[in-house]
Amino acid sequence: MNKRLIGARLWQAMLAMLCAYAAGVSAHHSLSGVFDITKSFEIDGLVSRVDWMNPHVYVYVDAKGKDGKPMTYRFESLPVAMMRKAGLSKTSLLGDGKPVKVHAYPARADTPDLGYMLTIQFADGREIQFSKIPGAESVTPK
Amino acid sequence: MKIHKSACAVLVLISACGAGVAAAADTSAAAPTPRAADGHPDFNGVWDNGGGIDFLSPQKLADGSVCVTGCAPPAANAAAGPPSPRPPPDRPRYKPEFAAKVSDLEAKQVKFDPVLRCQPPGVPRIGPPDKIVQTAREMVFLYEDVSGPFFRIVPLVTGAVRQDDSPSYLGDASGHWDGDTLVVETANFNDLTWLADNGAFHTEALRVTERLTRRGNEMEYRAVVQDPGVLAEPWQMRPRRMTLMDKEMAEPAPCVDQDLHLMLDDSHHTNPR
Repeated sequence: MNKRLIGARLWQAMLAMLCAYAAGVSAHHSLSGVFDITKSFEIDGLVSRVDWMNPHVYVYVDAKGKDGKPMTYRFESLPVAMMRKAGLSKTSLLGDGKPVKVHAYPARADTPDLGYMLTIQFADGREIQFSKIPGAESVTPK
Repeated sequence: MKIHKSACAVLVLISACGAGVAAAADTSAAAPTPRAADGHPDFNGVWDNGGGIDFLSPQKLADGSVCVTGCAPPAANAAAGPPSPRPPPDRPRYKPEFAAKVSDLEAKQVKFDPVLRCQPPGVPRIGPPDKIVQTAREMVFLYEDVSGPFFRIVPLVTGAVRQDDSPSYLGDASGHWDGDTLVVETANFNDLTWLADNGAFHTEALRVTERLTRRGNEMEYRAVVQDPGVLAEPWQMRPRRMTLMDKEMAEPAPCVDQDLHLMLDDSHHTNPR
């Protein structure tokens, strides 16, 4: 990795941490009590439901668990006001019924169906980044 | 398209420096201040008050991708550097004998902060209204708060605040005009809310004076809090700026906490307000 790329990565990492601090609700203080922010996982599935509510919007994704059996993941996300400010709605989170890829923090408690949604990528390539804190170790979904 | 790989892509800046994605009216304070039939400034409308998230600058990419937080700087603004950090907390100053209580509540915020359980935020923690409906006899303040939808009715009367009802979360308000400034006096609060984050408790003796001044299509919101039994001095909350929006207020979302019981420690939970 050349110095320029390393510098760019460092800049991105510092910026992301600053943004996360500034965002408050994405800060370590607020997430780490419920979610393990040192780890993250990805799943592929179908969005089956969106709870458009405060203090957090929830996105439900039907996917396969670690054992290969169907399960529904429940992903906590941002408050409604932040969603609205970003131009997002319940409809835009529901997507078009095609498969999505979700990147999330796992819950700390023994709740394998719960995660904190960092990004969701739709089949057409669009991605919504709700939060991004670099350095999380990639893990296998529960 | 992966957002983190798109720093060089053409970015469409949805909002910058606190402006929302929604179309705003002319936000110039220099615009003429419209007036109601009775000659007072017209406060009617939907007002963007920042919602406590005015530090947030979401970005939309050309392919429809959206970045809400933790975004790389938009190419057009790369030279401007990272966004401004959140301002420091704005807190009242307590008498020395209550410092320990405030510290204890702050340390146990997850257990005791009412808004984390979708309870009413109180005044002035709820902040400026999101919509104002004005008549010659009263003002109606409508809120979409992270704790849920709320409203306050402010009769335009001269004299004492109504106190014939039980103490309440948002108190009993009355308003009057001081020139072009609407002054709202509120009392008869219960003691179940906080003045701000971080353990800022109050008593039922709380009185709040809010002053709203419209200049063009902007509104200045100020609040002064008095609770002489516990506060060392009246607390003048940091002023907030409101801008008139060219859109209707959406139905506020309900507040239903689902996962607070899964908190495994006392990690502080910063609230978006």
